[in-house]
Amino acid sequence: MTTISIENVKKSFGDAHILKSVSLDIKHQEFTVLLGPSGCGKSTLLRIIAGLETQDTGVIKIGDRTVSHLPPKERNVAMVFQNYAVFPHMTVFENIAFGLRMKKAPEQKIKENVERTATLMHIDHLLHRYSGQLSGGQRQRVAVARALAVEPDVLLMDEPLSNLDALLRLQMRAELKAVLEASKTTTVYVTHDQVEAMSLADRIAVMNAGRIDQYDLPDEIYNNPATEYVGSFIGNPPMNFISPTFQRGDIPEGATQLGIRPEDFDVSTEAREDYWPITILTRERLGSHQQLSAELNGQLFRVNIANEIDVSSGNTLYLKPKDDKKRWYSESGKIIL
Amino acid sequence: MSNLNQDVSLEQEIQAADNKNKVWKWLFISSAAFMISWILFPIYLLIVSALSSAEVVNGWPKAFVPEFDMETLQFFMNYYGVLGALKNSLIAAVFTMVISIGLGTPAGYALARFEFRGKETFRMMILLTRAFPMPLLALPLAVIFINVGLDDTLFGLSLVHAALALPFAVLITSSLFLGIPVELEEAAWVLGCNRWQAFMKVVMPLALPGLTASAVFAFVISWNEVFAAAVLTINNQTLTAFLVQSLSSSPAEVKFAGGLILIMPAILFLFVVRKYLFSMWGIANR
Repeated sequence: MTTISIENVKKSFGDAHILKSVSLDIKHQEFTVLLGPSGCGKSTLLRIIAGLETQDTGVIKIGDRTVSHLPPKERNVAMVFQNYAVFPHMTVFENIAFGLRMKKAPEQKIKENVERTATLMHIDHLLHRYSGQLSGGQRQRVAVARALAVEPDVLLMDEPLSNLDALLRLQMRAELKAVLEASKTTTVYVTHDQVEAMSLADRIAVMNAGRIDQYDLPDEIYNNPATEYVGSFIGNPPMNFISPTFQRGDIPEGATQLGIRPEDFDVSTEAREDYWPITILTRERLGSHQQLSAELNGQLFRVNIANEIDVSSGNTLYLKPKDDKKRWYSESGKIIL
Repeated sequence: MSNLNQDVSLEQEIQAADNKNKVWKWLFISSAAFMISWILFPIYLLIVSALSSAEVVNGWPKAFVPEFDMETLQFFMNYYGVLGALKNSLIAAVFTMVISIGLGTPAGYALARFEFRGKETFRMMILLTRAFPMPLLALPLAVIFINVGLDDTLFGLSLVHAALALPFAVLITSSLFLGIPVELEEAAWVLGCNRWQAFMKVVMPLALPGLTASAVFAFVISWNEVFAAAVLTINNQTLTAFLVQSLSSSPAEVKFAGGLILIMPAILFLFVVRKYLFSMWGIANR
C-alpha cells in the first residue's frame, strides 16, 4: 500500500511563506494532480515529497514510513523534471538503467527493466543514442522511462509536458495516461494547465497561495468549487460570480455571491418571468457553441449558448440560471452548502 | 523632371552610405590587423631569432624566414642548470595545478550551487587577491617562508603560485558548474545517489573538459611567473628565475632560445583551452 500522507507542512524561503500549513492524503495507486498558478507552492510541495527541499515543520509519510527527513535516495520515489534532466553524457540505455545500477540490481534485471520501459515509451529503437541526438518529445520519453524503470513507490512529475509544443503535448498526455494507468503507481503530478489536470487526474488538489483550496474528484472540482478561487481558476471561461441583489426566490443565509458556470443558463429571446434581461457586449463563435460577454446592472459575465440562437452585440437576451447548478458563496469566498 | 532629381539624390545618398560603410570596414580591419601584429610580431621575431645561427641574429639584414639552425637551441638546452630549472618549473607548475584545482573546484561548486551569507563579498574578495602586486608581497613572504622553513622549496613556491591561480580556478569552475543544470544532480539524487556520488557520476564527467582547461591555466600561471620565483628560490630555481638571473649576461641568440622555450608551452596550452577561458570572460562560445 503506497499512500502519501502530508500533515501540516509549512515552508518559507526568507520572508516568502510558500506553503502555509498544507495537509493532503493521497490514496494508494491514485493519480493526484497539484493544480495552481505559478508561485502557489505546488512545485515546492512536490519537491518536499521528493526530499529535494526540507519542510520547516510538518510530517511526510509514504506508506507507513515517515520520510520527513530522509534524503531523496531513501524515499523510493522517482521524479520527472520539466526540462527532462536526461544525462547528456550517457546513452538512453544508461540513462534508464541509472537508478537500477545505483541500487545494484543484477545485470539481467537491469536489461529487462530498461527494455520493458523503453518499449512502453516507444523509445526501444533509440537505446544507443545520446540525449543530444533526441528531440524534446523523445527526451521526455526517456525521462519517464527512467523514472518507471526503478519501480518506485511514488512517481513525481513536475510539469513534464510544458516544454513540448501543443500538438505533441496532447499526444503525450494521452500516452502518459495509458502508461500510468497500467503501471498503477501512486503518482503526484504538478501542472498549471487545468485541461491537463482534468484529463489526467483521479483527484485534483487546487492550490492557492500556499494552501490547498479543494482536494476532490475532477467532476466535483468542476461542479462544486469549494471556493470562489477554485471556480474562477477551473473552467474556460471560468465560473461567473454575480451579486444576487436582483435574485428572486431563496438566497441562502450569508450568501454574498452566486456562482454559475457559463453553460448553465436557460436562454430565451423573449422576456419571461424570472429571466434576467442582459445586454450582449461581444459575441464569439467558437464552432461548437458561441460565447457571449454580457452585462447586467453593471456586472459582467460570460454565457455559452447554442449556435442556433441568432443574436448580435447590443441585443438583449433573457437568461435564467438553472436552479440545480447555482452555487452560493459567502463573504470569505467559501461555498455554502 | 522632379522625379529624376529625386532618383539622383537617392542614388547619391546610397553612394554616400556605401562609402561610409567602406571607411568603417577599412578602419575595423586595419585596427584588428594592428592589434594582432602587436601580439604576433614579437613572437615571430623571437621564433626567427631562436631558430637562426648567432651570425644571423647579430647581423643585418635580418632574415624573414628562419633558417632552422638548431645549434642555439641545442646549446641552450645543454647550458648548465637549464634542465634542472626546467624540471623545477614542471614540478612547481604541477603542484600549483593540483593545489588550485583541489581547492578551487569545491569553492567554485559552492559559489555555483549554494546561497550563503556573504556570497557576493566572497566573490569580490577572490578577485581582490589579485589586486596586490607580487613585488609588494614577495619580500614579506620570503621572510615568513624563511621563518617556517619553506624558503627555497618548490612546495613553498607552489603555494604562492596557487594563490595567484586560485581566483581564476574558482571563477572558471563556478561558471562551469553554473552551466550544468541543477536538475541533472537532483535527478541523480532521486535515482539513488548521495551528493558525492551525484557529483562524481553526473557533474564531473560534464565538467571535466572545463576542469582540465582550468588546470592547464593554473599550470601556465605558475610556469610564467618570474618575480616570486626569483625571490623565493635560490638553489631550486624555476626556468623563469634561472633565465632572469643567468641569461642577463648571455649572448642575444641564447636569450632568444630561452625565451622561445619559455613561451611555447604557455602558447600551446592556452590555444588548446581558449574556448573555456573565453566563456569565463563572458565572450560567447562560437
